[in-house]
Amino acid sequence: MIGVGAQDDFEYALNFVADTGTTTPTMVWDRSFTTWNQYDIRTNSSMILANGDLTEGSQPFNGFNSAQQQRIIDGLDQFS
Amino acid sequence: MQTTRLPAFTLAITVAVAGVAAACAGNDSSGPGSSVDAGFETTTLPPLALEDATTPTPAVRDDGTPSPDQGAVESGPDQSTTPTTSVAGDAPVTTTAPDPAPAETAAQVPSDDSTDAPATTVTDQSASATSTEPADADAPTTTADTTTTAAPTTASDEPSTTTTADPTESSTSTSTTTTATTSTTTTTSTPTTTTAKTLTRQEILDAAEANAPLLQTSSDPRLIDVLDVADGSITSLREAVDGDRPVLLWFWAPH
Repeated sequence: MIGVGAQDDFEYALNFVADTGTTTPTMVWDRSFTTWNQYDIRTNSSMILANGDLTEGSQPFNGFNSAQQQRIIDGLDQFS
Repeated sequence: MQTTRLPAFTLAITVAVAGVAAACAGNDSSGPGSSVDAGFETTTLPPLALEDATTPTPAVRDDGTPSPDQGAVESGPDQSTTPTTSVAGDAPVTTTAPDPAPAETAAQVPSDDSTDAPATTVTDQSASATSTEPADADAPTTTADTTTTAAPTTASDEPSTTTTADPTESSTSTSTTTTATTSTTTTTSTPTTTTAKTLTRQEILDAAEANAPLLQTSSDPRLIDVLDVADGSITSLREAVDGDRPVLLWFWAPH
């Protein structure tokens, strides 16, 4: 899993990672929003299940609140 | 018929008995007699034998040779020391006690009698038996006197203890050295690993700030430069993905 952050600035991103305790996924931050646009992401938070070389993937899915998001983050440890 | 014969046997027996009686009487007065006497007195001998048997017990020490009997059991070389024992032999009365008391007494007496060549010989053996301990020079002398009984035991105890102590100390020091080396190795390896992954928040921010102007964009989303939140370094989605397994991309925003 890879977390692709955007908006605000890098220090915010750093605080978000620290606050949520996300350690398993590789967390990157793209201040240009280019990746979001390329994958047609319009909503925070959203997810896409892609193949290994990132050339194909599912439609973005979202709609989970902060609590659901935290459970997803906590559950990521199972796949590490 | 029978009546006639009886007297003849009776006379013969009577004569025999009379002769024997006379012989016995003569033996008693004359003392140790012939083997014939012994045969008749067999009944009487037992008491003598008992006296002899009783005598021997104390005699063991009285003989002076007794020590050889017991001494031989304890140690062969003590026979030479036997003369020393003869002094203790005066106190044979103390059948059981002799061991401790004589030991000390003998220890002093013999030293006076050190003139005895055998004593010297014994000393040499005791020393060698003690094992190679040069410091025992004093102990051997004392040991030589008492030697056989209690003294040797004491002497051997002391030296053996000393000997044991020496190896223990040396082995301990060796083990200590080994342990120290091991701990050093462990300590060295641990910090190296930990230090490599640990970055301060400020260091990460500084790295990100320095790399931000260097970020490059691309029409391929996999090659777009992004910042690694873990260390502020420049990376890309393609570099972040390892392997061919499906990947879950999570698009998140800090606010």
